[in-house]
Parts: sequence; C-alpha cells; structure tokens
Amino acid sequence: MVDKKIGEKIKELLPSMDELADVMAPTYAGEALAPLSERISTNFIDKQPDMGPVKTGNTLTKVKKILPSLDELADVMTPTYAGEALAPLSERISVNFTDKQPDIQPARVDGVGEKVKELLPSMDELADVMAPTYAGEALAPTTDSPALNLDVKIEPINRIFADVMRAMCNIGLVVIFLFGALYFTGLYPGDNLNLEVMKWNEPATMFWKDVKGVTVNGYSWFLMSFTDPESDVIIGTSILALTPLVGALFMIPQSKGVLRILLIVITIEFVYAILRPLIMSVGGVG
Amino acid sequence: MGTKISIPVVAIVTLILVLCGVIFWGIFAGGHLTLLLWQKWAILIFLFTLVIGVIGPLSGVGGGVIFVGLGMAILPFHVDFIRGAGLVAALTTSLNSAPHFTKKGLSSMKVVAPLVVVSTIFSVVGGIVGLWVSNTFPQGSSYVKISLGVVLLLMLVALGTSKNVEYPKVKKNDKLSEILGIRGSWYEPTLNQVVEYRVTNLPIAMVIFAGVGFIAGMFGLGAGWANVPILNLVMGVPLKASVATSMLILAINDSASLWVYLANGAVLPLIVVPTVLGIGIGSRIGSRLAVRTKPKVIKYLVIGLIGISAIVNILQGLMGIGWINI
Repeated sequence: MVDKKIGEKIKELLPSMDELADVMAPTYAGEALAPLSERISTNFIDKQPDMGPVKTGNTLTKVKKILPSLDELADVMTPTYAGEALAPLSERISVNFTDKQPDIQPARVDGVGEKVKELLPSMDELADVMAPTYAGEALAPTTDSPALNLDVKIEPINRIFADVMRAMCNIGLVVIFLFGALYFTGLYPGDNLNLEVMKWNEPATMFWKDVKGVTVNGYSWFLMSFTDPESDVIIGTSILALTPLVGALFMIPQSKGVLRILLIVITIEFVYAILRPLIMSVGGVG
Repeated sequence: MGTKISIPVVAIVTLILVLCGVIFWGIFAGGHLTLLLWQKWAILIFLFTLVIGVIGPLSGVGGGVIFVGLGMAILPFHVDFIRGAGLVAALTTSLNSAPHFTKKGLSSMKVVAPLVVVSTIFSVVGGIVGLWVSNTFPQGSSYVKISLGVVLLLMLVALGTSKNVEYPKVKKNDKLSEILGIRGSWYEPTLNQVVEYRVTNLPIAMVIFAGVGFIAGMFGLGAGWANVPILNLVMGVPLKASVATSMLILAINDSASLWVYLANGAVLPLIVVPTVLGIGIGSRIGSRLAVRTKPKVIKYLVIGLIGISAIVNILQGLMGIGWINI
C-alpha cells in the first residue's frame, strides 16, 4: 500500500507527455483567440461538454484544464474545417447535427427512429457515393435534388457573383495549366528552368534579376513578355485575382442601399490593391 | 443523366496526359529516363502537395496552411515564393468551392460584404508588410519564419479552444447588422427544411477579421481556420454556413493580397503550377476519402506536422538572426 501511494505521488508529480505538450504553449492561451472563444462559448453553447471531475490546487492540472488535449484538438479540427480544400461537409453535418441544436428540432425524436436514422446513410452520403460527377465541389452532393428549390430565395447578386467566380476560375486555371504545360516542355528559349532551381532561394526581386535580367516593378515585367509561357502562367494567376473586382462590377448595378455602398468600397479597395504598385513604391519593390 | 465535364477537369487531364507523354517519350527515345534537376523538383513538389492535398480534408485543415508551414520549414525556396504559391493554392481552392455554396444560399454577399470591406484592405497591408520585411531586412526571411511559427502555434491553440456550434442561438441582431439587414437562409436536406439565420456582434467580428486578413496576407495562408470560429462563435452563423461563408471571404481576401505578391514577383510558375495541380487533385481525393473514413491518426499526424513546422520555423528563424546556434 505504501509503495502504491508513493508510486501514485510520483506519478502526480511527474508530468505526462500530454501535459508536457499542453504546457508548451501557455503564452498564447491568454491571448487574442483563447479568451474570445471562452467568452463566446458562454454566450452560445447551452450545454457545456462534460469535462469530468477536476483536481484543483495543482498548477499543472489547472493548465491542463485550460489548454486542450491532443484528442480535443483532433476532435475540434474535424467538424469545422472539413469544408475546406473541397472537402464535402455533408457527412459531418448529418452525423453531428442532433448533438446541439437549440432552435431547430427534427421532426422525429423517438429512440427507434433515431437508431434507424443512424444506421441508414444520409441523403448526402448516398449522393456522395452515387454522384461522383459533383464531388469536385464541397457541398455538391446535396445539390441537384428537386427539394433544394423549396422556398430558398437566392438573391440575384449572389447568383451573379457565383457565375463570375466560376467563369473566372475556369478561365484562369485553363490559362495556368495550358501555358504551364508549354512552360514545362522547355520550348521557349528564354526559360532556363535549371537556373531557376538554383536561384529560387533568393528573394523574389533578386531572383528575377538573376534569372531573366528583369527588374520587377508593377506588372509590366510579365505583361510585356506574353510570348513567354512563364509570363502567361502568371497572367493566368492574375485572372484568378481579378475575380472579386469583376464580380463586384457586375453586382453593383443589381444591388441597392447599403450593400451597394459596401460593394463600391470593395471595388475601390481592389482598384487600390491593383494600382498601388504603379502609383507608389511602397512595400518592398512595390 | 448527362455527364458534366468542367473545363478545369479537361485542362488537368490534358496536362497529366502531356506529362505522361513526355515521360514515355523520354523512356522510349533514350532507352532510359534521365530527369533534369528542375524536372525532379517539379515532380517532387507535385507529389509533396498531392500528399498535403489528400491529408488536408482528412484532417480537417486546409492544404494551404500545411503547405506554407511545412514548406517554409523544409523546402529550399525563398519564403516569398512559398507564400505566393500557398496563396494561389488557397485562392483556387476557394474559387472552386465558393460558387456552389453561394448559389445554394449557404454563403451570402450580405454577410460577407461588411467583413471583407475591412479584411480586404488589411490583407493587402499584410502582403505589403510581409514582402517588405523579407525583401528589406538582411534577415527578413528569418523574421517571417519566426512570426509564422508563432501564428501556427496560435492556430493550434485556437483550434483546440474553440468549440463550434452547429446552430448557435442568436436572440437579437446587433444594430449594425440590423441596419444592413443581414440574414441568410438555405435548404438543409438533413432537416428537409429551410434554415434561416441572423447574425450578431458584427462590429467585433469586423475588428477581428482585420487581424485575420492581415495574417492571411502576410503569410499567404487561407485562414479558414480563423474565419470559421469567428463566424460561428462570434457572429452566430450556423456552422455549415460559416464554412461556406469562409470560402467566399477567402476568395475575396486572397485575391486582394495576391496582387501584392504578383507585383513583387513572388509568384513563380515552377512552384505554382505543380502546387495548384497537386493540392487540387489531392484535395479531391482527400474529400472523397473523408466521406468514408477520417482516421484519427491522420489528424494526429497533421497536428504533429503543424506543431513541428511551427517549432522548426521558429528555430530556423532564431538561428537566422543569430540568437541561437544549433
């Protein structure tokens, strides 16, 4: 018994790997994002997760209580960000939905019904498997069912911007990949790709000076040499970057009130972002 | 039902066929394939970003964040080019997804407009500051690496401390969002009903988005990891709509800061093309796999990779400015 007690005391004194990992970042726990989430959690989450009994009086335990464990970190990462990088977020929504939903209640809440629901794949999951054509887009599987047209009023400006994004993205990617293929064939004599590999550890401005002998200033350095596939790839990238500006210009006539003012401000900001290097030399070689 | 073939798919398939053709030509013409230095690197970058693209959706973190963090730590390119490529990859990813979300009502310009008015200008400023630091100071790259390491650590803490809510309760709009009339709705098939939502705390969110925009522009990160909790927990936007709205915000913010990188020569096609291709294809494979399985080991792996990237970046930065000598 005595040995066991001593053993337990030693165990309490020594930090576990998890605790060590947790303690590694105490500096940031009190900063910007941490208190924010705590505060907001209080406002919005009715049902707090059950943390279990917590020993007090031990600094390490307190720190552990504040900082997330690796498990919590992994759990939290999944739901929120699954929508990124083209991930379908349908599965997460359908699986986790019944956990927390203060306002909206599903129609059936009986136990058997819930179990059957759990066993059967959701519409999203079925659609995911059945319709690979749409998997390129995050929420695609849920799309083309007739039910989606029910009572959802999509404002014209949203449709316009969606169309502009799709068109610009397609054009930009085609230009990038088409001229990318030409660039990688090495047919253009001005492109010395081996030299680029040897110099790519230099800052951008120095790199272009050493590789192509051009001074990077604004956009003329790639716009003026459009016969070079390398420049064309960069032009393709510029097409992608033009998307919001083109979208805003199309949306402004269709919008009204404060939204129109906001769109005009966004347009001005984009024009500034694009023209800034041409009108002033601020920010590196701007 | 007819089969839809999008232009990017055709372009990607064409490129892959061309690459395969070049490789086969090399094999049959010369009897063996001798790769030049740049060819080895192009293939390496493609495979590297392909793997990142696959594990991104499986872990729930955007591929761009892993690429920039890990890339700065282990790849030999200058930080300017890594940030430029990361930004282009994040932009193409969001431009691919956002139209779909927007057409279904999951993301709305009414919600996005007041936020991007602030974040756009700050992402431009972030891009200017980031490139100014790396180009002006002799140890500029080291400063960028240290600050990126700190941001990555902050990101891990933010991920761990924010517990997102599927449908947050918003009792009352704040005055500003009331004036702007910010509301949203979409059809939720799992409920078979239209979900309507309204937002709150818009002024606070605008201030936070300014900081997020700055960080995204400075490091070439997508910053969806910050956008989603702000939208969900601060503004009370439902989780599904938060992810969609975040995509739309990224599409606008990243475009704005990309102009700074373009004007400073920080977009290098030799890195950008394989990166966009690798992350694009990888994320599609990853998103398919994520529907069926989300192995926890991948999440641990990505947490570990981001944590290690953060520490390596900080150590490299500190060595670069001569504070430590390992």
